Amino acid sequence: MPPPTTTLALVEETGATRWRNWHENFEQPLTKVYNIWNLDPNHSTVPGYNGTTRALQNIIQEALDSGVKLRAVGGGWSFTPVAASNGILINTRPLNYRFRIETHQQHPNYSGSGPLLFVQAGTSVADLNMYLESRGLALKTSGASNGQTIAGALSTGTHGSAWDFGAIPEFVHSIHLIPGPHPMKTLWLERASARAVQDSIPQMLGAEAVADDELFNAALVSFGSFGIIAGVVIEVDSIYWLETWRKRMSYDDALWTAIENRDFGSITLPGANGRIPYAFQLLFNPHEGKDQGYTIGMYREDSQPSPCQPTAPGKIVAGDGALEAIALFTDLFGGVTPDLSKLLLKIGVKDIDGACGTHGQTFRDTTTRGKAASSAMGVPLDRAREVVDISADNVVATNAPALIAMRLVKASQGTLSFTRHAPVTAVVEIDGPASNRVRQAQRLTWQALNDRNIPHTFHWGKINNLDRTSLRQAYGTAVVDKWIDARRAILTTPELRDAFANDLTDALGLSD
Amino acid sequence: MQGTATNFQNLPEVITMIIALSVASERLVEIVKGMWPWLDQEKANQSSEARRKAAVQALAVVAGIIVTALTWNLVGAVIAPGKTPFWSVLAVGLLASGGSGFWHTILGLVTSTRDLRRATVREVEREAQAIGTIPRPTEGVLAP
Repeated sequence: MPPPTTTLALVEETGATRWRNWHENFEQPLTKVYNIWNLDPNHSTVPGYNGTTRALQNIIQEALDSGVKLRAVGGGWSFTPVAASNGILINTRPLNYRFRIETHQQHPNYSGSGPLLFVQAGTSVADLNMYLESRGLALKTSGASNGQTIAGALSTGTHGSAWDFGAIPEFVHSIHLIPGPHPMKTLWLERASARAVQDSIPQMLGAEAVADDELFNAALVSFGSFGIIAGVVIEVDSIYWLETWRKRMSYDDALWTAIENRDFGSITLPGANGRIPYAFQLLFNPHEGKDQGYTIGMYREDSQPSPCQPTAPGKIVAGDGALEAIALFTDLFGGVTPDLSKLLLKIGVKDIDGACGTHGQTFRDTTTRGKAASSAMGVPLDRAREVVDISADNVVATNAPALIAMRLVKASQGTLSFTRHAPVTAVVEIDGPASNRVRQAQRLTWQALNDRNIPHTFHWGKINNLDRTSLRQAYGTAVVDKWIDARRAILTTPELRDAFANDLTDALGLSD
Repeated sequence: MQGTATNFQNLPEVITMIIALSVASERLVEIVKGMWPWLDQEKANQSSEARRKAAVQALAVVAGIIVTALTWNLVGAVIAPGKTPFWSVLAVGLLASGGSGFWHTILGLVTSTRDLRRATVREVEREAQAIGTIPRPTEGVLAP
């Protein structure tokens, strides 16, 4: 039964023929950009949701009729053109309906520990945090910033540093996917091995329920190339507070052994007080040596600590301008680069002594912007120290004004999740302004990882050197083929597969 | 943190002041060179020419420091408010001796960066307004 069509959405063409991502490191010429709004943006209703779904199907039909490519874009947060299209781009940010799922609507086999919610694809993580907090709930994890939409963050495998939980895909239980125009049915994907909701919900939305582990895991991290994600079911937690400590400490053998064994109780972390961190991160300036730097530990508390004082607002924004200025000066005056790197660290990073806040208050940066060059490599935990050393050496060798960070993320089930190295993936980041030196440091590091046969994957939304060959080296041919097969099963015609391809999927051999 | 950001915002004004000091100290150097022709005439002998160039550079540093010291009441308020005058005069004098051409180039780079930054800020503000107009809908129930 097709969904009700008594109402559709408001679709407006912006007139834009170019699109630039949030971090401004690339610009994409395209045919047109649509903004799409729910017809009643003030009240989340099933008819309103279904009207928007039908409107999105109409846009797919338009793309097929005119033979252009199509993509839904969220916050545009990625550094790579993963969300870009040279045809039609749909801005989904106004699509932020949210629905509660009652206990009786959960599937009898639902095995999660938290309540379920159904949120529309364009809901931003920032908006979601506010909504959840007002209900005494919280996301299980998120990235460090919160400007992404939930579908965008899911589709690129966005992660935080919750080493014992994982990345955003881990709390998504169902995906409502629009794989083609009306009258093609939309799909409600879940894992057969982990059902979440009763079939009455997809029926209400005019979707065909598909319980299939392979399809679901492939669709989790598919960066818009499986169709348009209309909404997702997420599992949330009761509200919790995070106490954050950031201190300088020695990166000695004891610390690295604790990291490799995930045995944080064996060392004294800043502010630990006998607690095991919910999130853990290293951050240092290689120009000051790689034997010490900041260690960041976040400790979860289920009741509000007293006192509880979040960090002052606006700090990162102040650093944003400095990043741009440093990028310019760096390429002109390479000799002073290490000093600029110190300045960068001082501007952006200070000691934190037990700053406290809810999840939403802790990960609240929506505004960081600037011509930054951010690269993140996922590597097995037992090679993490080696990769950190290589990265630091290359930053120093190239005089790049870059900082190194390392976060730990529990391995994800997504077929092309870059945090796939079990049991825990170490994510090593080389971040700095978008200067030639930073890019050179990143390139040398990627080359060294290849030369030393260190298994590695790349964050889909950050700068990388993936191509058709290296993608298959990183994930394995069987895994890549499994993802392509799943895409073919969902996008059943060559025309649809072409419409939802883009330059990146073409370059990686993922378009058919 | 905010102080650092403020210094970056004031960079064009600081550089403009250094350009003014550079022009004044260059004029002073020209006057001295006019009074002492040995400094003004290029030497055929390589070592003599090296000594002449070194002397002119030393003269430029001294001129920069003198000009800075003489104008410190005006200059200090813009460049280094509240700093110890001796070291500040020395530092700014050395900067001014770099020559006005060099500082003109730097000023062009900095102002273009600032303009870019301002354009970006305006764009961010526009986008923030657009995002801000997206209402937060009431929670719905999944019922037909």
